[in-house]
Amino acid sequence: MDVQAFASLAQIRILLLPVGSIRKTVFEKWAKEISEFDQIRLLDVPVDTKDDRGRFMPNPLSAGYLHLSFSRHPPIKSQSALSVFRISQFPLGIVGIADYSQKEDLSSSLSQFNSSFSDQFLGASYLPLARKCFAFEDVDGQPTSNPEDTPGVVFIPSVMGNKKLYIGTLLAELCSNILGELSIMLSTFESPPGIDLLNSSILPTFPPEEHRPSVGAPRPKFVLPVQSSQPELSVSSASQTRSSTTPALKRILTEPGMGSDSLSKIHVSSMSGPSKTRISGTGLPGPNGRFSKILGDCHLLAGRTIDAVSSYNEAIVSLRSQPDAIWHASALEGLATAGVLDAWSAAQGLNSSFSNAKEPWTEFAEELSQAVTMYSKATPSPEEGLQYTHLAFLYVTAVMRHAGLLFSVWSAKGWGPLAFMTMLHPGPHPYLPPTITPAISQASFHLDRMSAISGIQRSEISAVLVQLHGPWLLHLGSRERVAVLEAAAGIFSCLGYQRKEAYLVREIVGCILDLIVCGREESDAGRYSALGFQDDGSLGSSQVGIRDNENTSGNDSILRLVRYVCETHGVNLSSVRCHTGSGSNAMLPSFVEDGHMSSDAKLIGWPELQIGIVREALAVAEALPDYPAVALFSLSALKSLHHVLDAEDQYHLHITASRASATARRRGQEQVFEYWSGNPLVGIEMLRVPFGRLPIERPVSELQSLSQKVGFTLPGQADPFLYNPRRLVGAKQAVVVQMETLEFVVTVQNPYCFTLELLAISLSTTGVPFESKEIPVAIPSNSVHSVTLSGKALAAGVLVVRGCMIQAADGVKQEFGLPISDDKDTNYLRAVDGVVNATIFDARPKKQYRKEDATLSKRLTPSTVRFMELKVVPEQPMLRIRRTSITHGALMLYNGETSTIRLTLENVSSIPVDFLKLTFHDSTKAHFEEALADGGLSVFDSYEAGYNLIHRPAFWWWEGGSKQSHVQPGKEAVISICCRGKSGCTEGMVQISYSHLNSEGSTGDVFCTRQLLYPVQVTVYQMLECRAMDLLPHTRVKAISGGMRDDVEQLKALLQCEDAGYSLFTVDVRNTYGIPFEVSFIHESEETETTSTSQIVSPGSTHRFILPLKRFILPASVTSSPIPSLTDKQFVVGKANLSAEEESIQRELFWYREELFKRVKGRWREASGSRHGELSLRGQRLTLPMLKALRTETVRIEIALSSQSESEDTEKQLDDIVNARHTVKPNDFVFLRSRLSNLSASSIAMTLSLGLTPSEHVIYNGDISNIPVGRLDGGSSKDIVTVLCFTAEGRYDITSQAWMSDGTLDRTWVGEGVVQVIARSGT
Amino acid sequence: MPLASNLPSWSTSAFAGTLTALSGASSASHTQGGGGAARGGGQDRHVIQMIAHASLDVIEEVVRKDNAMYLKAVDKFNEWTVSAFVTPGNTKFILLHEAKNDDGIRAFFVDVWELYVKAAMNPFQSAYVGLKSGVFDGRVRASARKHL
Repeated sequence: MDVQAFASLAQIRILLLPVGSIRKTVFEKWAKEISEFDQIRLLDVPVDTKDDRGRFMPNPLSAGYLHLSFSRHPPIKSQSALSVFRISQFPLGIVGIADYSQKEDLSSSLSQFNSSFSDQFLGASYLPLARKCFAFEDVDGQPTSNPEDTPGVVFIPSVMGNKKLYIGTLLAELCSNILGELSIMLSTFESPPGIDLLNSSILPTFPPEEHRPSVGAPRPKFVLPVQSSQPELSVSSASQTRSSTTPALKRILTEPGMGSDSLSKIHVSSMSGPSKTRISGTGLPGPNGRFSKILGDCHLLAGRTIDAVSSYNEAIVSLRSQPDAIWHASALEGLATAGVLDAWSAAQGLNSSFSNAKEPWTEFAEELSQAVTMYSKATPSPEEGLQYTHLAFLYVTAVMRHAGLLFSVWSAKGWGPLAFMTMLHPGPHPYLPPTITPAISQASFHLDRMSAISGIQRSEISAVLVQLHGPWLLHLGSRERVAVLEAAAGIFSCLGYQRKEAYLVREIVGCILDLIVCGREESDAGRYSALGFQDDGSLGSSQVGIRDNENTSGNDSILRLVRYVCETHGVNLSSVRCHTGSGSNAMLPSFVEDGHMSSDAKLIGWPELQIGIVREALAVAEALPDYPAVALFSLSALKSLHHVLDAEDQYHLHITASRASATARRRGQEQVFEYWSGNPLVGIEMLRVPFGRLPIERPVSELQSLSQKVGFTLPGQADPFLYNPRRLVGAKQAVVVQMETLEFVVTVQNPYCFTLELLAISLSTTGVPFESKEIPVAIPSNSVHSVTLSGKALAAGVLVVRGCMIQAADGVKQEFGLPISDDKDTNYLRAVDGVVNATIFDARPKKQYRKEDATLSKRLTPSTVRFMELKVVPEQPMLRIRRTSITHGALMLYNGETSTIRLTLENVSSIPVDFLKLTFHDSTKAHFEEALADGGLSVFDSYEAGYNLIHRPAFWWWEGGSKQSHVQPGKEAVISICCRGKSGCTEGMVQISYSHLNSEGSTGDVFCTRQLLYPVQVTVYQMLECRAMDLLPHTRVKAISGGMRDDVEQLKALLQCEDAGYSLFTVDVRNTYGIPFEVSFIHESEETETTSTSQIVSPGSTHRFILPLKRFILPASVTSSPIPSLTDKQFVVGKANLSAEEESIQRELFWYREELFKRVKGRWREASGSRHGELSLRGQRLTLPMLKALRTETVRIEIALSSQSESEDTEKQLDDIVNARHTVKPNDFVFLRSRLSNLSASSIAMTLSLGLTPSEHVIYNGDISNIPVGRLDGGSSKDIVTVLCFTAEGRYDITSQAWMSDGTLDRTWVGEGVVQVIARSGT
Repeated sequence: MPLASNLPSWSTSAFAGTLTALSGASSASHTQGGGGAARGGGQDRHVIQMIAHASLDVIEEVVRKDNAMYLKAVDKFNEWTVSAFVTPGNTKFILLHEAKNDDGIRAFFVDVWELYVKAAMNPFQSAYVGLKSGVFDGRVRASARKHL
């Protein structure tokens, strides 16, 4: 069944047939040319009135049209029962198209053409009414015979100018013939036998073959009386000869404006019969009604709508009274068609719009809906000839007509020329009216607007159209069924009802597949027997493989339909792209996403339904069979539906896909799929290079500063760790070495319930060339799997690891990028967005995809995507520690002991080492460094900490050894490292950085080193403790009691220093260890000879060491300089807010302490062994009194007491007892002589103050404070004598202080003398 | 139950899609187990689901103009009449039925709506994931037995 226009009832159907061996293109060309004549003006139709043919001939002045429709297919035999009931369904004329230029005998072709009718029109043998053969001459062709000779052929030469006009004329002629024949045919039924014939069954047919001669020959006239049911339809019994002219004359144009035959009364020309009697009103109403209906059909075909309306009305009136539903319904259909044609011709003539209050089409719609109802209520009676198939056909056609009316009006935005256009001459795309474009049918507001304009809701059209669908569709022939479903689907599509369309499309596919499968079975059976196999099951196809030469044309279209259906249900069956022909080395555009499968968030559609649809799609593809499509569908379904597929289905799809692609490959349909399981890549991680191989970048400036850098530099960033892994992560580029193997752990996931096999997985890199092997991986089901991939960079530069190249079975190698996500929050937001955007039952997932794609592409602009970058540096040498001098890497030391470690390094690479640097770390260092970095220390403490770090390191590179820094390939080098026992040190680390500096690739401001680490376990025994260091002013001791002991003797010897410029250094040393140590303190200075004291300190005992110390004075320039900072920190702000005076005191203390430690050194030695070391005094504090004792005073004051003044003896006596204890008698006058000696170089003006305690028992003359001394030159001395009298016995302390006065009130202490006096009355 | 009460009187044989036969052959796991009741007395479950799905076209159009929640007999397909209920949250309940039972269907829909709201208030329930609550299922069934 061809597509039926709404007005198919009014269209004269003409069959176009190829004649002879015409090429298809030529036939199509001319057929198209002919098909363009879809209407012919009645004026153009030549009037042929002979032989009673004039009944439907147009009035010479009528302005109506004949409507033509062209088909290429002969009618279906099963419908021949309808040949009377619905004559418009059948081709009334045949046009043969012959190619005259073909070198063959046209006449034989023609005879073939003629004979083919009998085959084509077995049932409706009365038809066709007319035929013609056009022989077109092509440009290049030589006629073999004169076409003019062949009768029945119209020759159209190629030189003819206006072919179109000519063809039009020919068609008009053909129509004239048809109309003539129509009237002859109708005359058959006007006789009582004819009436009987009509009444014989519900669907009467034409008389059988033998009653009639073949087409074209003069027909025998049935001798029937003319009858008419209505009196007003009186037949003017004109004679046959007259009737050739009378019909035209009798028709009177009552309404010329309407432009059509508008006789209110129809004059039925009687056939030429011998009896011209008229049976009026006596006939049965049934036949009359039926006859009127047929008459109406013919009038409609002849373009005489007014006549048709009248006939139909008559028929309806007579049919209403009896249960002849389908005739009644058909008449209603005809009436509606006639009405529309009327309106059309009116609009054609006036070109005016309608402004009636009531929409004109409602009437027709009502008629049609009435017709539909009647059809649906009709009772099939096979015995009377009304088969299910016919009824179903009529019903479906009526529904389509009804829906077509509404749809045309709706799509044309109202009742107007456009609507007529759609209804009458739909053209090649009947269900895509010009007002509807695919874009419009997607936008609901457009569709709503059309509803508003036309007044027809889409749901109304849908409601009408839906009636069409039902079980009765099975009664239709396959072709009709497909055509009806197609047409309905087309309308639904235009209405924007994609889901309903999809439902129908699915059924279309089902119908077509049914045909394919059935057809195949039939042909199989035939072929097997032809091959000689007995179809008895003994030789099944399982034993003999028969390869068919399959006809695959049309498969694509079916698959396209299947895809469309699935898409409408939210399953994208083409989500996996497929590449045919190309090898597996084809590259696809890379797939970059941020780690997660994007489809996770999307869940569009009804999962259960989707699974069913996918199963059907697979079944279709398997049935075709189209193995590539099977594989594609399976994989796409796995990709897009894996969230809802259960394990069994997943497994089934997987197996199906692999089997199908294997079959396809076997058959030579090579194809590869892109990777289908979303993004399998979860993560890529570079395995950490072993520390010994890890290159570390250092600035080149470090090289230059290396030679002169002695001081301590604290790194800007306080990092207490030797190797901080976080630092590497935070860095943008990891550094790797050229030509060395890198390992990456790639994490891949398998969200499916089956083992996913990847043929190859390899790293995808850009930048410097990278050599890596690809490996196959099988990922277990529902799991995340890690694979280690290795490779090496072949050149220095930047290596970008973009992701992985992954190739699945039957897949193309594809890149999966793994960008570094810079902002987790935005990712999160993006994910949330995705969820919100997805709508669960969205009808148009396509739009969503598009939107998603746009955002995806926006996201993946190169500027925003970053990948893992590795910096590849040139090849580096490799050292290893061959041996060491210590066993087990452990060292046992006493506190203060120094030991040496020797490390032997070997260069195991082929590259020489020309840079070697040692760095040391120990467990005490961290504490000090942290304290320093904290900055909470006082200036003094921070100096101490710094001193500890720099001047007393636990390890250092021994200067005595050759500091060689070159190690040739394969050679060894020995380095010596000194190690000092520092209390609290438990472990240490020797870090050897080495490099090849003069490599050619090393440019820029960085160079790379590698490091060797040598950890040393250190145990430090704390055995000697110093405490209570003190400095006392030296007092000459004459006799020390208990002079028997050695140590006292020794002490005595020590204290026998003449000069008063000494002070006593004392310190307690305690031995807390288990063995005795000999401890000695040595005083070294330039001025005096070295003195020392040494003593064995037994375990557990404490010994006080006393050492006379030459007092010294530091120049003011030294003592006033600030305490140096040993760190490179520049702005150290003291926490303590000290006054200027306090600060100067602090500085003085600091510098004297430093000097003291320079002069006094402690050493220890094992009493019974050879181990020795030094004893640090750094823990001791220097106090202000100690400072006074240590520092040489500016002015020395010697005090002497004598009973007489100014005598020689006194002088002598005074010398003896200077600064010592005196014994005087009370109540005697004593002379106190204070000798002031200026020890400094400059002259000082000073005063003297005496302090006498207890002062109440001392009588003196004059003032004892601020006694002016005057200016003393440097080196000179002066005596001040004061007379005293002690009034009581007892002990007196006399202090004499010299103050430097510089004329102001301020005075500075410069010297002091102390004497103790015992006043005793005895001797 | 007169299955074809909505159909033309001469329609006797039920429409049996050839596709269902084909798809049944392709997979053994066709019968859906405890998921839902086998609706439609032997009719293919997917066909019914597709009819419901297809009727969304009409429902969506009607909803755009009509504010009513209960859309009575909004669509028809084969022997099925489709009634729908649109919640204020644009969730659509679709019921395929043959007999006319306006009041019962309305009551059923209101019941289901209440049950749905209760189920949807579960903070772990997302609107984008199917409702897989046994309680909900059972109550809907009970309501269906009561009203339909």
